[in-house]
Amino acid sequence: MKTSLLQRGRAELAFVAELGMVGGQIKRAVRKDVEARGLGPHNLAADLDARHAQIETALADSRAYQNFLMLHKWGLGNLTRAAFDAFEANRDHLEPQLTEPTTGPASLTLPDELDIPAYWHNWFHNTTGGWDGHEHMGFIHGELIHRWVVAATFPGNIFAQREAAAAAAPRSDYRRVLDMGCGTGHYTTALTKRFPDAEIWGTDCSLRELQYALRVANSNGWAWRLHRVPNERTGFPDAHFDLVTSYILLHEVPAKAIHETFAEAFRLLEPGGDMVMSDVTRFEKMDPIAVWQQDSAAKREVEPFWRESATLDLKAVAEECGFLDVKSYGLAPMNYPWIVSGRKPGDTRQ
Amino acid sequence: MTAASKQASVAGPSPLVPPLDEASYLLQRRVDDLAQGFMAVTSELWIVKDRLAILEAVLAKHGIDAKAAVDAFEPTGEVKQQLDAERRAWAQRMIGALFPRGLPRVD
Repeated sequence: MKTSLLQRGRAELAFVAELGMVGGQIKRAVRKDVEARGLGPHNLAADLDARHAQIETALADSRAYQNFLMLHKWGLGNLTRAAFDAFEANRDHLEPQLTEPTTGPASLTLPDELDIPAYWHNWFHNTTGGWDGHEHMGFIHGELIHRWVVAATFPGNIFAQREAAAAAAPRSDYRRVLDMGCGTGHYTTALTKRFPDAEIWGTDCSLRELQYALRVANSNGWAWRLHRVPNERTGFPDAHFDLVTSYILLHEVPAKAIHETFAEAFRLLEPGGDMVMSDVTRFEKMDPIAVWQQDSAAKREVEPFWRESATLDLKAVAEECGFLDVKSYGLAPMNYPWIVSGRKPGDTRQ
Repeated sequence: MTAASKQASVAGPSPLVPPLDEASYLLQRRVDDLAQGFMAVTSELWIVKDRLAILEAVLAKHGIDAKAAVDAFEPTGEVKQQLDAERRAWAQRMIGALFPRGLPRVD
């Protein structure tokens, strides 16, 4: 679809992204301020809450810290608003493309009874209204926020990172692949390109994200099978897939849901099938100042499960669920995304 | 605080004017003044917006639909590069104004 924006929306989203990059620069200055106050791995508290108090007390007179917080607050308060405004200013040419009947090989299946976990209603990333907070949230989040702003501000190439996660799967001959938490389909796209002969399935709790994913699939001629079900309880048959995977999903859910998701992946895999989950960098692989910066940002960004996810031993969880050959590692050069993979016992292909 | 200013504040006599990094010029009660300045900038921005709208109207009278052309213009090539560079410089100047010596460079 034609996603160009009129001048005001285009310029404002570009400016929001620009301020995000300035914020990144100031964030590095904040780190220098922490170090200049004599704080570092040798004397920072191991307990994260105590470390927060320790660093934030030391930064009471730091201009960089105050300005960073001000700028972050502005970004969090204005990103979704700017995207909503851009959509409204361009609704006349965007909406007809988004509401025209979707035709093509893809399908979207909605259950008779919704089973949405309570945590999903959180406004992740401070996204106003949550994932279904706008009738066209799939386009707004997947295109305006993700492609126009996040792609410009996030370190590295967010689409190449998805391709790298897909490439972490050990085989190339999968027949049926499930993308858990597929959203608008950015990772599903990477999977489709990586495994062009496989049947691609996607799950998500967001109706709006799935509706847009359906449009993406059909406009590309991809026969995605999209289902609005929670990852923990998909309702799909046992041993239905030979690859179950997800991209940067786990830090959005509580640890209990991660256990349940891995267990569901195990149930859904045929013997010998692979699970490849990817998520944010583990705190244990980051230095104490970087952990403080990430953990405090997560609080401001309404990411209530980031800490418990980033400190969870994903390898142990996968092994508890029965996976073999479990590997847990970060992709170069930033340990991002973090991969945890494992194989269901009983490989029937050999 | 730079190493030099830290050393000066410890070893030397109290300066009449504190090092720039130490200075706090904006007292809490002056936040109202800051808000007044913000309103002045807002007013000035409106004047520019008004002028742009008038300019578009004048051009339209002469048969040039500048508003539609500007709205639909998709910057590419040199124009995009110029806009990107100017936006970057503008954002850095604006946020840099919150620091005594501009945006901190940490590379």
